[in-house]
Amino acid sequence: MFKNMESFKKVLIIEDEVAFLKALEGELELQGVNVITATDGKSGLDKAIKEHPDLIFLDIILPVMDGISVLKELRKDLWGNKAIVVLLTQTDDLNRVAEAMENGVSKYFVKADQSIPDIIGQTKIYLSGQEFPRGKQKGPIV
Amino acid sequence: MTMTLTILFVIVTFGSVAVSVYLVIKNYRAKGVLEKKEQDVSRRMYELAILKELGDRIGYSLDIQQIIDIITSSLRQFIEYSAVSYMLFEPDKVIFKVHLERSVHRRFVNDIRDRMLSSLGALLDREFDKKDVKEVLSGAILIEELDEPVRSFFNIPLVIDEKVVGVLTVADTKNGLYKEEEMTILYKIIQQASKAVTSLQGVVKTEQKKLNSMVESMADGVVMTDNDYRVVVANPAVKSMLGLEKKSEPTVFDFIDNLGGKFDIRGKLEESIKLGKILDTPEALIGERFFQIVVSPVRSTTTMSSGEILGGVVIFHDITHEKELEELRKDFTSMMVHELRSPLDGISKMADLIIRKKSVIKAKQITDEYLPIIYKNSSDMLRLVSNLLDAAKAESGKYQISREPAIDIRKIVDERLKFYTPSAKEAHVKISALAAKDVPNAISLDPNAVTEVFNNFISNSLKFSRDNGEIAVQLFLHKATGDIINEAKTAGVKWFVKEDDNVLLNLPTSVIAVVTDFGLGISRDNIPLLFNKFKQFKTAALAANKKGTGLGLVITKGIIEAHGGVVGVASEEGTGSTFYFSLPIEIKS
Repeated sequence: MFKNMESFKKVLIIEDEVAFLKALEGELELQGVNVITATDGKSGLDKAIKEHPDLIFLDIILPVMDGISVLKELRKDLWGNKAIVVLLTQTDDLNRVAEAMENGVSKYFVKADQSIPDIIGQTKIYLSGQEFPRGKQKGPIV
Repeated sequence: MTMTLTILFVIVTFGSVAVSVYLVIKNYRAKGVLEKKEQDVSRRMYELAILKELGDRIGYSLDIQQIIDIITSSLRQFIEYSAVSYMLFEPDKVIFKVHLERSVHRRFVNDIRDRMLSSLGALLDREFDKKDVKEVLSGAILIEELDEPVRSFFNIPLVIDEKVVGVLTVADTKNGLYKEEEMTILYKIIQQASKAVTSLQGVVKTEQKKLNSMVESMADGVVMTDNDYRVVVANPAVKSMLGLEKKSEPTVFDFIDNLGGKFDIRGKLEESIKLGKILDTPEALIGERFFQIVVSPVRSTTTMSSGEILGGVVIFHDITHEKELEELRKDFTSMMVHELRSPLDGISKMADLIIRKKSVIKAKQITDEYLPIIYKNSSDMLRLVSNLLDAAKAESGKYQISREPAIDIRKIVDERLKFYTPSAKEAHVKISALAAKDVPNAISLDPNAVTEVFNNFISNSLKFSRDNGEIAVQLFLHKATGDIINEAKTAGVKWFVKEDDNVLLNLPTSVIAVVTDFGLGISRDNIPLLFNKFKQFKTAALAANKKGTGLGLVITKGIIEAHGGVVGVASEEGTGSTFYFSLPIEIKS
């Protein structure tokens, strides 16, 4: 679906670890991507629904509202139901990854295991290589 | 001459006969007395022997029937009777045991039975039905031709612990036996047996009471069943664990129902009883709680039936708290990953970006945006590592303080006030200090550590204050002999501490430092968690505005305890909280 970088023009990063957030943001911005950021789950959810980004990087452990709750809330939204979400996790988050899978996420990265260029590179391959699962089709797709 | 001789002979012969007769008569009388004496002595000896033998044979038996059997089998040695019998009153029947020394007619036995039944009825003031009598006949056989009635009859009630339990009877076909005085020995025997059993029962009852109250007051749930799974014991703990409080005598089916298939109590009991094995179920979730459940066979330990399995016991040990701690520990580990590895990973990725893109990233972005983040991350981590180490030391009671001999604690408070005034202003909170006059101006303490304690208390209070709130930092002196509540009142201290505060009981003479805020307050349930490393750390890690590691109170406790003092919290939800500590001082006069 996304043949090239231009296809994801607007990316939302929801991540409370500011250094990681800034590193990912900096890398994407240098590639010409418009980056929006949020450091807690609630404001991340609000920004997603308001800005309709092409892609959301979502951390799991977040203040105010955790990543899984953000995802569940997002899927209730007409637009959010088909939003593309990539999960950013810690090594011992496998249970929660499984829960995310049930909510229409099929790509995740263990943050400490991969460099920022790898994360971006693999996300691109992933997005261009196959039909992207659109989550649970609960409502009508506009 | 012959004549004389003859006369002499006659006289001598006569005399000797007379003497002989006299001697014989005398001898005969003496013999009678002797015989009687001998009889008395042997009778008494016999009495003693019987009593001793009975005492030995009864030993420590508590089985009344067994004791009466021993008595009746010894009785024939000194009392004459056709039949000796006893009746014992049991809840569902009357045991009637007759031992025939001589053969009698059936009517004889029936007559004894009826007489005994009516005297038992009179003693117990109740009616007995012949149908309830369970008769056991032993000794000589019944012979229909011997139709001799009961002519002599003697009844002794059997009394144990002031309660009539039955009657003992001797009966004969002959007339005029069993005078009251002749029956003294029987009375003595019965009395002795009754006394022995009564006092033994007393001991058993006391032991039983001890055992019962122990089982009753156990925190673990205990259920015991017999071999037919009838519940013999179910203590209050097991009833409350399984929601059976309302059942005074729960059955095994009640247990099966309320265990809801989570634990096969019947199956486990069966397995344990059959195999004679202890079965341990390390973890079972029943309702909302975790239990370790041990099923064990119950063996008899009495000498008579040692080793025989009497039933099974099930012990429910609540391990919910341990499980919770385990969960907290797991959370703590994953939080450590989040709190340490994430910021470190962030630093590494940021540095990587700067290195790779140094030609394209503006220097200003590096210095103004990236470096401050790297600095913040690394200092946060440094503080966290230090706090974790301090908390570990505090928890193991190994927090090292370096005391200085004469520190004015007022100065520490003044400095802290100056330090926090700007941030208090920013938060629209009024912060004030108060020190009672009698607070000594030279105390032995570690000024840096005590400063850190005030930092923890004041920053905590600021966090939970409302707009236009107020924080009061206060010091007063408590004398070992004084009433702390009154002392605080006299000094004008504002706090939420109540008279029933256990932390402040029996304190030595100390300076009490109090930080009170009039903010949100803490709920009763959350107060105990304030000093829990795992819980605090998790809460802090998930907080929206991350300030501190949550370990401050744990460390504070370590610092104050190293000073020999105590730390406490008092709060009213919605009104405010007081954090306080004591520093013991030696007053030099």
